Amino acid sequence: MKILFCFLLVLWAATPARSQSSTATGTSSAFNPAISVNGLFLGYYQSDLLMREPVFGHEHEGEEIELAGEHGHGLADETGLHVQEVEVRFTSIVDAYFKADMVIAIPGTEGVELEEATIATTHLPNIIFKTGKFYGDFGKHNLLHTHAFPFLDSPLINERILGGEGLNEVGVGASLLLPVSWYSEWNGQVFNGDNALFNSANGNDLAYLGHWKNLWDVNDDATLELGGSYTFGKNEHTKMTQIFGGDLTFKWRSPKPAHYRTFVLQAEYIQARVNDGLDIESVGGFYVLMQYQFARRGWFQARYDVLGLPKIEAERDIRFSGLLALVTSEFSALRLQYNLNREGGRNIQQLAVQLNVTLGAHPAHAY
Amino acid sequence: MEKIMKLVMVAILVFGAWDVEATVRVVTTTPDLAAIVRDIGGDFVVVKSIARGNQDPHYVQAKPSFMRTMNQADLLIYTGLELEVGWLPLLIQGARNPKIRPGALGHLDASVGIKRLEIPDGKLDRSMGDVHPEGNPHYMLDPRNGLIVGQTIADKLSQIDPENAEGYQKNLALFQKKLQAKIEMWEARLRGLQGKQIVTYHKLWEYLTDWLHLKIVSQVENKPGIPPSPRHVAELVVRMKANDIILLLSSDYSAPKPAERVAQQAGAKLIVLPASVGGREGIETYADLFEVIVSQLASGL
Repeated sequence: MKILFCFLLVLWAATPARSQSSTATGTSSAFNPAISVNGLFLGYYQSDLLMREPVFGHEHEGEEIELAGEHGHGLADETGLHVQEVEVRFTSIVDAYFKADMVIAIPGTEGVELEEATIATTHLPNIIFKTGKFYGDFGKHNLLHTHAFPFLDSPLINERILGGEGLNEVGVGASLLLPVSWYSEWNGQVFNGDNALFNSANGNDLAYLGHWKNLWDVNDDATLELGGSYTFGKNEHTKMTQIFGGDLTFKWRSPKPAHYRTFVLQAEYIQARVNDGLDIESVGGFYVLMQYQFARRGWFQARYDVLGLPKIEAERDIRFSGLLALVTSEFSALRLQYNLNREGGRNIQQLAVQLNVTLGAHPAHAY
Repeated sequence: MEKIMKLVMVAILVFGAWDVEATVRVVTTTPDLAAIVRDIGGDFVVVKSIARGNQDPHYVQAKPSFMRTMNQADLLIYTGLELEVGWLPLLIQGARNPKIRPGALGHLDASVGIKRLEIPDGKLDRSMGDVHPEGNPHYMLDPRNGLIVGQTIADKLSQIDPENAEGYQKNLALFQKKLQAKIEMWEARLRGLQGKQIVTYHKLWEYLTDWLHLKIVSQVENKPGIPPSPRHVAELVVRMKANDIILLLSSDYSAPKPAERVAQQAGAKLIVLPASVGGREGIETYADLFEVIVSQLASGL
């Protein structure tokens, strides 16, 4: 009897929403944001230490260089088991005018960073304005969160030219749909100019970015995307750093019902020109990647990375990657990746297996 | 000046991928909704569907080209009940068109007024597969719901384009009268199926079987959207044989092999139905869809 009483008491206490109005309690959860968590768990092997430093060293006094694996969003730094990253995301419509997205990332098991916090307009015709901290609209890969990377790591050009954190900063942006017969979008963004690449000692210098994205339907099942990006700002020598980018993506999905075949071919090129006060250093590179879905849950992918153009061949860093994914559902995937790195005349191998899970109400990923 | 005018004209022509003659530009997520809009809107509207008839509407890709189409629309109509949740929010955001955003006049969830089936009771988790928390979204597969959706669409078009409201209501009356007559005819034709126990491949046919008083005993996909386990298939075959279940329904956009295997092993007849307007050649109107479905089901009698 006592147990029954306790049970009823607990039941009564656990269902206040049904018996009490939130008008009186003020504790309604009806407008809580959609919350999701992405977890990336990694088993990792490397045959030797890899170069992780960004091409343009920019150690500021009192600031650490952001390395790709350590605090960035790439693979781990040493062989073993790792939590690659946990991302917590809150998404909500703010009111009749704004939408908000907040992403809090924990790379590894320690340290918390505000990866993105954006407020975007929703009710303006043809244009979206946004502000906050966000990934700069530079090319294709820079816009992705770690859990949405096509491979477990970033392309070399992103990791080593834009830095382990990517081009991500506090800024404002506008995204305009252009009045032409194909999908054509112009993005203009201004950043605070206080990141790894644009970090002028003069605190007043801003960084600027432009991106033109175009997409055509080749037919009902295939699209071709062509984009151009340009960003510039003052570097640590209070001189100009300019980065140019171009990207090309072809996507196809089988129109046959229950025929799970998808093919993606994507290439991206980045060239940075950095004036260090004495000289202009130019470093560039590209990647080409292919993704093929061969079964409902099976994907095979390959990537070829080059960093160090226009240097002579011997001085370039080159990487071949192969990936096999078992996409168990929309909310989990098991992915195995092999990298062969050719770096400073050495061959370094990496092997990684990743379990990628999504919990909760995660917004759909862009096309 | 003349040159500038010419350029402006060219820009307008290039920009206007839509028929400029029509009063209301409508985008629907599925071809079923587009077909009803065509019947009710007549010459007053021009309509485009995002999904194609042979496509599973759960898994449409949010191509930016659709954003462009939606950028120019006066009205967006979608199925709702989270059917399009994987792609429609991206398209609405990317379209940059305040006229069709949630809460705007040109934003219509076609499921208002529908009596929903299978609203989950109790706590949901994703081990249950693709369960829709707001209920089964495949309500367009009961033609009686077509009558309700027709009304919803006619009312919305009348609101957006009051000048032609009379025309919309006239078209609606005709649409409902014709469809109602056909529904009665189809019901009479399939009366022999009433009370029969069947198995379906996916949780797609609940509204259809509710209409026809068929009883769904089980699905080949034991969890929605997840390929069936061999154990479940084996158990299902035993169950079908034991209960003398001889009809298995599947759709054009479901994987054919598992359903074929079950039907063969259980000695049941497999009927593969079109699930949407445009899913097969010749299915151009909402009524056409049921003509084909009813004929195929009649073959299972």
